[in-house]
Amino acid sequence: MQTLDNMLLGFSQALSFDALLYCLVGVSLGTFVGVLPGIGALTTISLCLPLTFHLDPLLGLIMLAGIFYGAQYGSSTASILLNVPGSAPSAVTCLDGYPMARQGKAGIALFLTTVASFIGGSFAILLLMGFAPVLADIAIGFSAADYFSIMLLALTAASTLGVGSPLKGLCMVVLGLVLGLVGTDISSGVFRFTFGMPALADGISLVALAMGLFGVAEILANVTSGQLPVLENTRVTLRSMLPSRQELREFKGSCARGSLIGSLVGMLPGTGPTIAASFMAYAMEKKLTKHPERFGKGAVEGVTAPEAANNASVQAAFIPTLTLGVPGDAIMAVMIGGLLIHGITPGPQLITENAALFWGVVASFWVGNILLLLLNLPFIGVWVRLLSIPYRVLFPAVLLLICIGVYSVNNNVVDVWLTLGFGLFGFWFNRHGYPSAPLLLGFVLGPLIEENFRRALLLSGGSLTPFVERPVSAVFLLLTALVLGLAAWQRLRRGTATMTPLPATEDNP
Amino acid sequence: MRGKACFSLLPPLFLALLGLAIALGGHRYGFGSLSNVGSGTVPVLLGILLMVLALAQLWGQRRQVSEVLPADFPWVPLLFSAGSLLLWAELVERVGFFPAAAAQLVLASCAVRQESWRGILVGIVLTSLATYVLFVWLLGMPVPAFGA
Repeated sequence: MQTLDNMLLGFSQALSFDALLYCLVGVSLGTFVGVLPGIGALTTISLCLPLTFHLDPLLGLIMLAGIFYGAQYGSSTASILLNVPGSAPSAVTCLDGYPMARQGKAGIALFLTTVASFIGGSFAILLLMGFAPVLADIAIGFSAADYFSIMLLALTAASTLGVGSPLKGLCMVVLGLVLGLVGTDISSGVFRFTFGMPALADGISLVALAMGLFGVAEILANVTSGQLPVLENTRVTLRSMLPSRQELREFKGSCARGSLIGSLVGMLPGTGPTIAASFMAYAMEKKLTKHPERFGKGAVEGVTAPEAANNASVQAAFIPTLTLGVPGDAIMAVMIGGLLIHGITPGPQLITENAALFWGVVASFWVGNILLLLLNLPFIGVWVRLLSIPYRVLFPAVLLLICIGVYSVNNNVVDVWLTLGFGLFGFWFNRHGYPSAPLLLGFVLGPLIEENFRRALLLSGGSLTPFVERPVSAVFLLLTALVLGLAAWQRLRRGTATMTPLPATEDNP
Repeated sequence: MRGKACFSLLPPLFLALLGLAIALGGHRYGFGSLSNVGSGTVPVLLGILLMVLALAQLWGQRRQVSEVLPADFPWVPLLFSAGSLLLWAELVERVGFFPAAAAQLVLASCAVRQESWRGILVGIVLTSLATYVLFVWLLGMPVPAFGA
């Protein structure tokens, strides 16, 4: 009954004209950037963050969230038609989506991914509605030591459970934590690492860091790759989207399993809507099927399960973000940054103190998902035609938008220089396999984790025992140790299996 | 071969030195006590942690062949794209919104081979106008259209 009342409150907010308009803008923009490879949801959300300063926080969050999940819908289009994922989690969709398109089943693949995305997203929203208030009630009793340990787990999981080297992920997360400390220390008023520059007194701009690491670095990677994506002549009609009975049968079970896996992965602090959910769903389908040889050649389950998991993980990631204030990934970190700029601290009090905002956002997810279903089925031809915009025309305009977007936050060119610096850093480090997402997550959580660490020690009179004596903190510290142990074990196993020694030369006998 | 391996060692080496610099720099802010942690404690701890992690990465990479910078690395697209941001930052407060936007768009467009410059010019005009309307007119960004 309480949930029903809350949802009525939420819909009263989400169905206002302004909320509907910003939801439509958000999901349309999200689909647009999702369809076009090389821009990405994070760049767009960072770009739109300064725009939300002029908006009501609810409208701003509805729009930013709409971009996020809208991009997940759109990114499968590029995966299926171009074999180029619009976002990282959609890389898995390429494996069977592109072969389907080459068999003349592009329409069916696009239809099934859209419906799977809707079902996955809806399942996770139901989970969010039921689970978030319970988690928030529990989290109200959390102490500073508990929060420190939860954030530690989130950072460790985000840096070690992704694809790639856990050690490199940890390096980036620590660097992010340090960058988050730049500026005035709120406890003592001391300026840290500002190098006498007044522009850094308030810290490094979140928008500059996100734009540099993701927007600029991605564009630099694309223009230096020499292989800009091009669409072959593809026509998708509504008639070509209708699946056969056999395809619908294969769709049902895989979609349900994908939704469940995505929701479970997405709601864990730190893991968030990463590529892990899509990969796990794909791997499970391949394991369950009697004909694994079909995978990679256009299997329906290979398209629907990852897409359902991907969208479920995106919606489920709002559970730890809104109820604990602990983001699941870099995009969630930017959203938390946006809320903090508005003076709203995500956490257990958000549901009670800002009930209209919380339930308004949740209700907007339903609205947004229905809008996306309408945008992506009847209007699929429009999105397909968008893919014909050449990247060489698009990227200079995106770079200009990045410059203006970053500058508009503080009206300071120092932020543009910083963006360029972070862009070059991200480009260089990404080439060497250092992921940028943990850095951004560390940056947002840096001040919070330091604050909770110092507060916990202050309250305990300098004793470290609350970190291990309090059950919640102890459990999360144990989980952190397990995650680190797992990463170390995997690295040792992989290291001994794949380490390639330098061939013997005169220099390297 | 040694040169190739050394190139891939630069990022962890850079991070190790950065960690050292952070620890040394953080030391100046004071440690405080356990019950009243000073401003320098967390930066010093993180600096040391970064250094240790980067050194571990460096150690792990010592015998691995990694990606190397190819001889024909496309420096021109990189320099033109990155330079366009720098150019915009240098120009926007000196010559105004439209000249800075046009200069940035032209320089960035030079980063890759363009098939039709007429289309690019139309794009420059449209993009500049659209961004001016959105950011300067609607959001009140204090930058004149032309001039300082």
